[in-house]
Amino acid sequence: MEAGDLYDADFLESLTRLRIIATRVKGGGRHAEQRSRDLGSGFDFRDFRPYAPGDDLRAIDWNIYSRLGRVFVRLYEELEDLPLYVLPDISRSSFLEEPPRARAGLRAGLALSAISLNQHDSVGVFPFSDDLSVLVRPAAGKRRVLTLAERLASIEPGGETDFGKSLSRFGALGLREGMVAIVSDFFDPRGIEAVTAALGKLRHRLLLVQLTRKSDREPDLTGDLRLVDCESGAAADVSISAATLERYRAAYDRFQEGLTKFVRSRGAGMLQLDVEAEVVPQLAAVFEGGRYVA
Amino acid sequence: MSLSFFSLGATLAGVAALAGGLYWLQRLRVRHREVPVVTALFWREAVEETRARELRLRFRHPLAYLFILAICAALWLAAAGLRADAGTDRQLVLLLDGSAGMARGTRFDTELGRMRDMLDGLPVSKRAAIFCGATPRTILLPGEELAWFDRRSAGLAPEAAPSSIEDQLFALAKTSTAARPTTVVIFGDAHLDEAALDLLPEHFELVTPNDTRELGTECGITAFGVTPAASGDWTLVDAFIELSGSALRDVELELAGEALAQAPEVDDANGRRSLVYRDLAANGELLVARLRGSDGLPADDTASFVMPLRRRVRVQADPALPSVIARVLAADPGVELVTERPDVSFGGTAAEGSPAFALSGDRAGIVVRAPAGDASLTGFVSNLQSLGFGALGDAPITFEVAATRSLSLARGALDEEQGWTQSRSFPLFVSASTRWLSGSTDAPRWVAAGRAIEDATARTDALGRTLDPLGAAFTPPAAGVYAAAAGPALAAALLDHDMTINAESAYRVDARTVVERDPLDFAHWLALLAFVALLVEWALVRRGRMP
Repeated sequence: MEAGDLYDADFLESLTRLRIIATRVKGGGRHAEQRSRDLGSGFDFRDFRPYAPGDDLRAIDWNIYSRLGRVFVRLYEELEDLPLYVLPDISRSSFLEEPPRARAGLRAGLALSAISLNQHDSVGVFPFSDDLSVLVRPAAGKRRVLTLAERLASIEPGGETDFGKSLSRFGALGLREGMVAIVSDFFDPRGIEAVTAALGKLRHRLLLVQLTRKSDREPDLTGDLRLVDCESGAAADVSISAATLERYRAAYDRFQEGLTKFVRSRGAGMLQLDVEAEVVPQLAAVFEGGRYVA
Repeated sequence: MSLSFFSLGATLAGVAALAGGLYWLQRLRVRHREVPVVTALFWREAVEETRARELRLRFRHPLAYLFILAICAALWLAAAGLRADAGTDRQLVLLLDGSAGMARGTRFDTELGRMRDMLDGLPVSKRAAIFCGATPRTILLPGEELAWFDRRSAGLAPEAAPSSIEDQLFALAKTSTAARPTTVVIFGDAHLDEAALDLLPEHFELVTPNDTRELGTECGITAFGVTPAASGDWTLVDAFIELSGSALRDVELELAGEALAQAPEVDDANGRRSLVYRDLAANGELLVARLRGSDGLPADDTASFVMPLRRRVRVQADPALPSVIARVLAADPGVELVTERPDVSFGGTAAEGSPAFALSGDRAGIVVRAPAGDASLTGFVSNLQSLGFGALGDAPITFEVAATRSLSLARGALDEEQGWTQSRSFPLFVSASTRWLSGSTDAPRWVAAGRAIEDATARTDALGRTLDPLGAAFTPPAAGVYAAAAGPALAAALLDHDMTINAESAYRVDARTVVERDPLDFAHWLALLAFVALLVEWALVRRGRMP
């Protein structure tokens, strides 16, 4: 895959109108545009507190002193960055069909990265399949979009999907709390329970970008088939019938319901991205009024 | 209930074979097509309840097996022609009279239409129709649609021939059995002989539809032939003509294209008129008799006959020939005694290769010599035996093969003590021997359509078709002239008295409507049932109710 396959000028231009807004990022971050829990030298007044030695004398509110006779200093909201950690699924299933899910997934990851970089947030990329690797360490800078695209384009197919191991490895990195965008089909051979259990251990804000296509729920298969899992190699002999398809759809719906239920309970964001359609219009649908509140 | 094409055993064996074959097909492991998928997670859940057919492990779908077996068995029984019999397996044969009598007015067209109407109401598988003209022709076979009848009956017309219905009845009777009886319906005016019809088997039923026969004033030639002239002249014959009918008419006779002015001897009796023309030349020419005027049946208004060609046999008699033979030869009007170029030599030494009548002193009886395969030998010997020669105790007839015909008579047979020379058969013996040795044969004295005559010659009709190629007894199928490759032609006349007087059959047959129906054929219903069952199976498969 070439970097040119992931973006073009219109693609980047269409993303400049989109912003990711954090309700309040955890303090200790780099100065940026997101509201944080830290109080400091920002522009938005947030609170008063009694003066203590060492405080900046410019922060003393003299009006209060004149009325109450006590010295208080004004506290302002500190603006910091919201780190974005993009976790693209590079398991074999992402590269199986045509067009491959990986293409739409990497475009979505690049789009989110570009939005964050535009607003001075740091972005890190951690592709995963049966394990997680660090492709791009978290860093900020608008000019990094092109570099990021080239790195994403260089990704090679991985192995079997293992959310438990991959997300455990991600948690062990000890990154500052930010937003984790997981771009995947979420087809873990261990089932949706293993997926949600792994996701539940993450202490970051979550945005799940589920890569789907119509045939996931309505497979176009007939006859007596040996269906081979492209990742695990496990086979299932199936005589396709209406009843079998009905049971398949029921199984798929249970999977989907499990994922949705987790998203609701966690308060995470979720986007079902049709890999056979344009990425940006679908992504924009999540950004209501151009803003996505993380 | 019966099967049209297979026996019961074969049908049951076929069903058993189908059951076995389908059983093993069901037991065969399904050969899967391998398809990679992004995840088999959901498929594994889906097939937990309905696994693929692995019937080698156990017979998983007995109901599906019974269903497909029922479909195959239905198709097999349809192929076997399963049907429910309706009554007897009676065959219905409709005979259309195509004889000359049907040419009266619109008789033929009327009967043809009535036949078609009846055929239309009869079961297709049982009905058949035959046109009985000069030669019978099948115009509808069992199982054929009525369009074939229309096509084959187009252009049919009565032929100048007697009815062949009686012959056809006996031909049909041979194929009729008690298990498969036959009903024959006759359309036409054919005269049926009561004595002959009584010979038909009991399971052979005759039916004639109700009809009314209109008799008009008619006259026809019912007999026409010749006899040796009463005047005794060997080269002349007397012609005999008989007319029958309700309005006798005059006759005009024509020989070799020229009208005869001679007045005949006429005798009217019992509604018939006999006419005898004396001393007509037996010259091999065509003799034609025509009735003046016309009536409803033209076929019997004209009759033709080829006159025999009679000439004297040139005989050279040896002076030493016994007088008893010489006197017979001299008295025979058909013999001309000559001294050179004889046809036959009597006594003495015959020329090389010429027939001879000799007297033998050392051999008893008669020695007949003829070339191998001489067809006339049998008739000649039979004639000799009828003359009583064979009754002479020690006078056997011996045959020898020779290049030329000859006859050797023991001198002892001429002894007066034997008495043979004094009998009436002796001159006939000499006369018959003379004619056989000369090769002259007696021509038939009358020839009628539908009547067999002794004639060993293969003949062709007016259309050039060869009749009787084996040269056995010849039966002219219809009135007309029949040529031969060598030898004189034959002219046959209708000469059917019953037809001329439009005689009704003395044998009264039933006059009723024939009602039969086709057996209920299950083949189509079984095929339809199988088709519907296949649709049901398809629907069940689509809905997941059947693997």
